[in-house]
Amino acid sequence: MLIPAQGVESGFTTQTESSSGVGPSFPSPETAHQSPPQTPDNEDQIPHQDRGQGGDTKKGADSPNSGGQGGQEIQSKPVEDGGQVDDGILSLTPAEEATPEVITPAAPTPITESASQIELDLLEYDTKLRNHIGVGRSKWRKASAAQRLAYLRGSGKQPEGLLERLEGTSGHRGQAPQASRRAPSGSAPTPTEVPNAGTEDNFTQPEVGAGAKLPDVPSETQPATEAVAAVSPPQGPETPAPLPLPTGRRGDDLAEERGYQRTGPPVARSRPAARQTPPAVSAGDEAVVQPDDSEEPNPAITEPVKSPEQTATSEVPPGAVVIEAVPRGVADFWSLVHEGKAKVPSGKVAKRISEDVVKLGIMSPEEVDQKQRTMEGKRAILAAWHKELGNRIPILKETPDTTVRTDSAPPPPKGDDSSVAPAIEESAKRLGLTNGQFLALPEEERVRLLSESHLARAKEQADRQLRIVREEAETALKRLNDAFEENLPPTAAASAEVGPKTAELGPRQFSTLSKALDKYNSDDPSTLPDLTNSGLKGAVLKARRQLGIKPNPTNPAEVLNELKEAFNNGRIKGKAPIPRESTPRPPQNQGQKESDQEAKQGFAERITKGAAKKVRAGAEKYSGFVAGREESLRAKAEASESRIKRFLFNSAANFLNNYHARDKEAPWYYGAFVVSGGANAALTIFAPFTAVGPGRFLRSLAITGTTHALGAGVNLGRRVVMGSVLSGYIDSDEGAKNFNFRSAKDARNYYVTQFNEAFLLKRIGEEEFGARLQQLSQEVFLRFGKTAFGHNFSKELEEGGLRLLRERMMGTLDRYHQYNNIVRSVAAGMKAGATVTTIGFGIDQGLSKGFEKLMGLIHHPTAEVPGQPGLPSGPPDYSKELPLAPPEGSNVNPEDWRRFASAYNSLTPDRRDDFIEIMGDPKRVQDLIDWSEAHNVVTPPTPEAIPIEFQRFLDNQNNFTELDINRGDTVGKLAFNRGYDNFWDANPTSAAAKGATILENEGLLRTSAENAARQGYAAADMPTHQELIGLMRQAAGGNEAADAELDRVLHWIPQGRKLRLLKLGSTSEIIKELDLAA
Amino acid sequence: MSDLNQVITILRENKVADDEIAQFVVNSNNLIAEKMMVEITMALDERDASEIDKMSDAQGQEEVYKRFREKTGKDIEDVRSEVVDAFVSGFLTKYHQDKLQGKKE
Repeated sequence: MLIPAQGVESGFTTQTESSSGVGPSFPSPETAHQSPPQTPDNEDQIPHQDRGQGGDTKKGADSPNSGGQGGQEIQSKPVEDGGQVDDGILSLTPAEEATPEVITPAAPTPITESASQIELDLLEYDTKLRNHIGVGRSKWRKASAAQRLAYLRGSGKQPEGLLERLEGTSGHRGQAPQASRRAPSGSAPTPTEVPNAGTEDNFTQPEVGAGAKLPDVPSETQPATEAVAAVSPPQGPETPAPLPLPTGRRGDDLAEERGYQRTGPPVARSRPAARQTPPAVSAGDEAVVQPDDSEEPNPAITEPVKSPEQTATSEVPPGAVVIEAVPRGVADFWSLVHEGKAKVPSGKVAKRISEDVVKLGIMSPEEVDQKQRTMEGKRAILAAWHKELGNRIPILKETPDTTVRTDSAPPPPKGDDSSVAPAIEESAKRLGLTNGQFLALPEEERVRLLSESHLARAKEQADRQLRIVREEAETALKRLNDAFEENLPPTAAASAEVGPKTAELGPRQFSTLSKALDKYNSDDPSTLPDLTNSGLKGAVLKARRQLGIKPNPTNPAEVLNELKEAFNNGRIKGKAPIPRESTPRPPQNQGQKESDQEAKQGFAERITKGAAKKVRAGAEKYSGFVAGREESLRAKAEASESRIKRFLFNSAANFLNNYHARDKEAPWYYGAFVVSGGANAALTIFAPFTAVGPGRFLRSLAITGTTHALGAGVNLGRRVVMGSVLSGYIDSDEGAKNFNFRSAKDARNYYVTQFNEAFLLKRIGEEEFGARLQQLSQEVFLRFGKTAFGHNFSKELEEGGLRLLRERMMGTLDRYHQYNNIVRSVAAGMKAGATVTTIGFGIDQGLSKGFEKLMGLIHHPTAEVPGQPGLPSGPPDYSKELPLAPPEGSNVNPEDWRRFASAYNSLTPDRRDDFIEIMGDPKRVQDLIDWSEAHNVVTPPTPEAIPIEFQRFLDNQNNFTELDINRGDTVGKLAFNRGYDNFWDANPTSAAAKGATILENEGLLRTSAENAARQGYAAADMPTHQELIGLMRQAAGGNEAADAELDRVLHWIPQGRKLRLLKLGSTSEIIKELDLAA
Repeated sequence: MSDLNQVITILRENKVADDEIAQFVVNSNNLIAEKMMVEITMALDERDASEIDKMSDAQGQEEVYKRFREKTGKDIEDVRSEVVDAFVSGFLTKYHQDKLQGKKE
């Protein structure tokens, strides 16, 4: 039972040492350190004030039972009944009169350790316990006390008696012994209960995770001192002023909750800075560091406060410096860095340390900025910072206390970045909750609300952009309209004719719409086309507007019915494709044509007509769309603005257009090509070189190279055929044994190898090859007695090879499509997933790395970027852009037109439809666009086609940092030094940084790339602005190919010049402007 | 593929336009690919084809590599390198031969 004992006099008691056999064997971290002197008149020196949400840093003083969990380090005083009283910092009294059993504080004990240290120990114990029972860190952190008990129980590792003693404790994340401050059994203790608080039945313990030191647990008997749960300081004049509990739950709050009442006025929550031992800082708090004139390290982490607001008001002494608390892991990491066990941090961590160093007055901002540029400097900053704060780095608790007072803004949930904070506030506000209450909601609910909020903000952002664009365009449109009346465009004129309205769509839109309407059957809802498809949506909108059909959002089928009727009546028409400049084929001289014709005939003789037909059919069946594909590739080539791309598409088409035999080298092999139904690369490899003039020289080199290439490799087919042919000559085991072969088969294998090697002599020349063949033939004749076959052997092999290949390939082409796809992919050096259905070995759909590299050596094209679901792929479709120059012959103001067109082009295709809708006169806008389309040859966008807000951002020079480019610098290195941790990854931040930096340094990068190219290095072409933004969007979405494109553009930078790098802090703005996060 | 750089260098020296060089590279790349296709097709028989046909892309590719190695004793990549080397060596040999003859003339 509790006895006032010695402690009564001083008002506090201490606990018994565990060695006495009475004290608890697992020390509470709270009690693992001595409490500060507690006297009625020394309250100002008591460090346990308001230390954060968990309240775990009040270190037993206010914990009714913590005294009973006796840390061995505690200087405790034995009391009667084996009990002892707590040091009783919590100066609370029961709601009713304190009974004589109330234990008063014992003699004050000196402060021996800082509260920070206590907290460190607390966390250490928590970790030890977790490790002991083998629960994961994350799981442990999320667990309530009850769950932790369950883990402990389930682990079977609990020390004897521990569970029993832990029963009844309510959980609060384990690391805080907050439960110990609550009323036992969930009810406020009555005065009569208080005296019994020390019994085993109703004492409280710190939570499991808080401070159990397992090896010390064995004590079954709880000391009476543990009964200090309801301890209150003595009444009367000696009663010390009540001391506040740590943050989140102030002492008076808890006292009231527990049925106590205040015994004195609340104390101020700030303390003089002159304390010797600074307390720890707890969750969500900031430590306040005051400038210190003493020689000792700044001891001025004076007082943890709950929130920045509090810090800013009454709790921060004048001149104090606020140091933000950091998560435990970060503090540990910094310590490792300081000890040289981890690399010097960068990014936010480095920034934070630098800010602290400046705040603390250790270095000037200029000095910090200077030092930041070198690793040594960074280390110096870190060392200074660490020396100043040492182990007093304020530690942030790992979980927000949902009971936190709502007058402070709690930190966002783990995993949220600062961008989420507005969403939290917004969501909380929408629900009429405070931030704290919002954070107290179940996680799923919070996520849902945050998502809604995020979407709403994204939509708002998009709408804002649309409004701005509209503002930009509206004025221009008004002036254009005046000119427009005088220059009535054909489309508008047509629509103004008397009679039913007609619609004229572009060829692509017309095709899309006509296909959809063809399939659509009003009686069959399943045929309703997908109007979310942007292409179809645009076509429907355009046709609807021109036909004057009113929208019907509730029943889109009605609109479609009207459209279908108009379509059937011929009122929807497609425009003729805009004539484009076709690429003229290189002239062929007559001799070459004849030669080609002969070659074709030669092939036709080699393979029968029926076989050729079958091959073609097989090839088409294999691909399913060979013929159409070739046309498609030709169209793509024609549409491509890039010469290189045009050529690539044409080349791919050429692969499908076989039988352009122009040479007669290695005929049996070419025959095999034909049989394969594949490409004719071997025949077209010489195509770039004419057969006359200097080209002839190169042509002969290519032919020789090809011959060599065809002779290399395993050539299993040739070997099989050779073996087959030789079997007619070497068929006797006896004869073979005469020449030291084990069998005829063994002899045939030997001669297959010999003949195969002879074929390699073809690389040297026909003469050498013929001579060796003759020699081998004679040898076989002499040994096996058969007629020499040298004269016909080559022909036999050729025919045999063709036959074998034809059989093998035709046998698989028809039946094993997947197998053929796989083989083609492997042959093209492409991994699965890159492309499978390769026509022309993937030139259409992707390029192998090596090939791409080679292409870079020549003239780095803007390679096709593989698309990702939901993301646009490939180059931008310029045909959807409005030309920035007005139609020729029109008298509209070019500047007005440019502004209008720029506004339109700055939007994504989907938004362009919306743009038209919200304009003052949508039909006029549509007509204007049609007018432009009808009169202009499509031109690629110019740099002006950057989203307007993005351009404004680029114009703000404060968003960039100018950096010197020293020897060995790369953009990545410079970016890393400025805080970018993952600059080369495909993510929104990097994409924003790369894109903006490219635009800002466009001239520098272009010149560098050109210089590099002149030196013979691979260098990327500078993408157009529109392409760049497309690449940024794709890279932000994780598209590594697009990211690689951006990297290539940034590859070459000149030494001695300056690079203007986007500031890390400015990336978020671009991400928002371009909606990169989406 | 890197050896093709020498070929490209020669083409450049002879003032071949970039797009023509590009066309040449594309065709040579595909020549090599087709050569490899023939190699693989000849190495694997119909039984292999029927088994691989039922596999996924990734698994099938792996199996092609494996079976090719089993039947020929060579890796596909090694064969590919041989073919490229042969092409380049043939091209360069002829180039230097012709150049030498040109000097003689």
